[in-house]
Amino acid sequence: MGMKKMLSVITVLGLVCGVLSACGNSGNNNSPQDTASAAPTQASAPASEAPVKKNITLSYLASQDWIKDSEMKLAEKFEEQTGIHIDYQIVPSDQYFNVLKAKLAAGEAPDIFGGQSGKFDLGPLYDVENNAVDLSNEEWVKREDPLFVEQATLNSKVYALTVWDPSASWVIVYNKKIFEGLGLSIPKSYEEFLKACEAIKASGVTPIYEPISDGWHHVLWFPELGVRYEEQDPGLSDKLIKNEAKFEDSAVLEQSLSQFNELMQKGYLGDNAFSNTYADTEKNMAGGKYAMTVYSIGLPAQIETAVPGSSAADYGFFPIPLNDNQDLNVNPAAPSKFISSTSKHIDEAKQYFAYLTQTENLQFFLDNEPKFTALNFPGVKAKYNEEQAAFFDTYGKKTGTVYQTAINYLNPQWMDIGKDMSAMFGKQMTPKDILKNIDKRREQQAKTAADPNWK
Amino acid sequence: MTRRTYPFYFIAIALAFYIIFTVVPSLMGIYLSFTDWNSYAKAIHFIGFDNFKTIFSSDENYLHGIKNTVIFTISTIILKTVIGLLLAVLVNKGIKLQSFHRVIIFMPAIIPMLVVGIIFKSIFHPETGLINEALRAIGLSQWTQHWLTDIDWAFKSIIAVDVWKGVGYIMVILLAGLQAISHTYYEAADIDGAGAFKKFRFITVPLLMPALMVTTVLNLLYGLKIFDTVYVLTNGGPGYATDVVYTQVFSQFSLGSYGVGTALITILFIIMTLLGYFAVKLMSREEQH
Amino acid sequence: MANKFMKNPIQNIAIWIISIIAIVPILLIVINAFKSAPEASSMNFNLPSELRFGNFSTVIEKGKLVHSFLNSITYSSLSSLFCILFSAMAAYVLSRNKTRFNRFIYFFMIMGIALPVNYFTLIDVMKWTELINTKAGIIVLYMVTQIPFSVFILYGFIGGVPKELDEAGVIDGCGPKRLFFSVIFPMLQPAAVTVFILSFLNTWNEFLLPLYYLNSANKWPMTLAVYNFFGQFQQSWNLVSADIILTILPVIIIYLLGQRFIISGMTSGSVKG
Repeated sequence: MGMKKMLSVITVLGLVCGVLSACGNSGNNNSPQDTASAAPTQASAPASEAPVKKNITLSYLASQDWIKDSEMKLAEKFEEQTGIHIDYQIVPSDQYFNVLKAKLAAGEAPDIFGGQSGKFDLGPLYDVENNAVDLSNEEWVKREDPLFVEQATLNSKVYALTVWDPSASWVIVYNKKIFEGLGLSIPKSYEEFLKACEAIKASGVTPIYEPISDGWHHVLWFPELGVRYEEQDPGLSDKLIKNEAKFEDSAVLEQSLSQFNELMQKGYLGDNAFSNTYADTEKNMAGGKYAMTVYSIGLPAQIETAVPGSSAADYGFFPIPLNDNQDLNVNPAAPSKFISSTSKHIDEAKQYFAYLTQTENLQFFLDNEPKFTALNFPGVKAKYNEEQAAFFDTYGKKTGTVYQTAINYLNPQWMDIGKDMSAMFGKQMTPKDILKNIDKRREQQAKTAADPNWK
Repeated sequence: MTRRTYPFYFIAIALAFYIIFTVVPSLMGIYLSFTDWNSYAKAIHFIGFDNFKTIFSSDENYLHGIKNTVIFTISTIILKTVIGLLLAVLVNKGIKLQSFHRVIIFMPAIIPMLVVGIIFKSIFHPETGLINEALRAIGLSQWTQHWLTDIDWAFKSIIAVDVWKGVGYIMVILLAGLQAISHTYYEAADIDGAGAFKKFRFITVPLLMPALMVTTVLNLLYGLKIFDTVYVLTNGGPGYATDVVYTQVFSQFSLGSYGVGTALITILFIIMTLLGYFAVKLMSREEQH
Repeated sequence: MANKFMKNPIQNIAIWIISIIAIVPILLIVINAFKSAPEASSMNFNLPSELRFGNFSTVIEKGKLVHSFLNSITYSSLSSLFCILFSAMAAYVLSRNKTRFNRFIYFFMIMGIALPVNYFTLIDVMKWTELINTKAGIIVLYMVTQIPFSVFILYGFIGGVPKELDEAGVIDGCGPKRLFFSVIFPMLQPAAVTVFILSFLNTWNEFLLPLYYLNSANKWPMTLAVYNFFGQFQQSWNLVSADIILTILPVIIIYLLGQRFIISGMTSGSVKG
């Protein structure tokens, strides 16, 4: 190939790149909000002229469902006051972690990023000591519920702000009318639960609405009982964490899986459990074709909004009764907000966190989020109704942390456990096989993480 | 004359972009399959063939995923080619409203897979779904099935949805191929008094061969890479019944074992390269005939 | 003649059945897009009590669809155009001048169809080329992802364009550029339109590359809005349906327009006979 042709190749390439980048630039100029994070020099110029309004954009990467509408409304008010714009980048949940990981690794982190808190995950999954800003000295840390702060703390430094519903435990929501009609009372043991299911089934109603098709919901029945496992076999969780005990050898863990399988095999989950979807819960629970489901205490209100003619007062709650459980399961690990250590606007991001956690703003947040009933900050008036208050009075005395947060290397294999449990329902696996698989996957993760307990 | 008429820089532009943005990252990816790269580690180390050993020595059921992937690929190639060809011939000429049908049949290809998942989960629902309701309405309630959750039906349903979505695409390519065939061949055949079937067999099929090879290779590579159809409909379930290679890769990634996941991708890529190579060889031979 | 007459009704019935199978799931979306939220809570074929066009304006406003629509149009049309241009040039030379080296290059390029995107390593390349976080970067990436497939299709069709045209052009004194752009490229119209439609479609529905390589939601394409809608309004199937319709409408229009070109391409392609 001659020199001349080589030159023409380069010219064409240059031309093409020129055309492309020109159009890219024009795109940037059209939207003033882009400029801040891309070109900080431009952003600082107007800041010196008008010190109050900063004209800064904070990019905020989060997974679907983590950012509530009411937070976005607060962010608009925040922008009115300060000029700081929050650019929410909401990523489909199944892609979120990979996108975040790629951006962190390449030094392209957003100013604020979302992450599921959990003391076992902060280090290995998010490497917060390198990627996130230490927030220990922020004012709101003293007010946030200590159980939640603990899950956002690594080596006694706080790395994230969690604003979430502490009452969002997974419990059994039941249809009071169906129970009353059959003369049933709240079951206090697994035996009583079986009897209730049998009576409900005999009346032509499916006892339990279980949306297996989503892949994650039916898993809840197993790890949510963490508090009960610890009661039955004290010290088990500690031994599991240190690899001194195996899931496979634990009788209490096998017990709950076997009992759950029994519910399935006896037909208490109905014929359509594998096709049911989580999004249809309200509709099906309102229809009276199902008597119970595993959900948060917010479900009755959701049913009332979604289905005309239904009433929230028709529903009550009790804990998941496998293994005779009577305790309340709590999960203090929740979607949280981190500030990137590479952000050029750390102070503004902190300012945003401080704004969100002002008591009146938290109250606004709670009042406008239909799925939440309380917040993990004091001074915020919860939306408990009588039924919910009665539930916490009865069961709130003995609480404990769910297994997916209490035990390491369990949460990442959630969907795999779900597949195993479906295989158990199809009689292709035994409860023991499921526990074996959990051990195997924990070992694989622990080894990739070079955990000294698995050497 | 060839070198002056067909200059290399015509190739070079596409080639340069392709190398920079596709080949280079992939080579870097292949390197990563020889490392202990994972979501926990801060540094990446070279560990030779360890990831590949893990895959081949492990008692995880990778063979099951490979088997399903192959079944999927073969069934969709056959179904899409046969149905696609029939449709292309039908909408090419001889029916009323042919443009209308062309548009309608192509439509499913336009819909994002996420949406296809939403629609078909609803259509396949055993109780409220359209299919079972229709079957009950015409008195065939014994034919109703748990389409996506019965082990015997789930994979068939996935294949059906994939054919539904992809066949219009294949039809369009074959249609373009049909239209590239000159009228003169058919006119000559008419003079010779050849029937419709003879014309199809001796003119349409041979002249359509390049287009048929195009669709076959596309279907082959698409089928082996299948992920999203399975992911949105069953995510490999019930249990592991409909797992394919890429849903297994996805599980590896969600457990944080990026190294093992990339090694799986590398293996599949090698298989695809070999199959693709033979397909292209075959194609260029057909072309010369 | 009688034979053809007998066959036609069967063909027509067959094509109608297939068209109905193809369209029914889409009709399901269309019907539900006009319902109220409770009516649409189970996606079914019951007709809406009244046609609620308000769903569409709600979606446009809440999803900020105007902006993301313009982004999507920019990404898909520019990348598809550049892709056709460069792929056709490459496929033309590769198909006409089949040296060993060119055969290898051809195979090497179409293997790209099988290459999965490695998002983690590509981010480094995007940084080196300084295309990360730019719209131009996304256009380049979309173009590149479609090149192997386009070369593959165009290569096959260029084989059907008579080589005598090239020779005639050379005798007339055309340089390679003029020969290609004024003689060969117009001949490729049916294939080029097909490639344009398919690559427009593929890029329109793609949303992962923008997720990874753009740092501002203002630059995001339209498909991502479906996801966000799905997350936020999972109970509101009517809004999700309205959003889906708005998202696929542009592609349907492109296809409708392009499909005419395919037909006219056919008639003008009769240069041969």
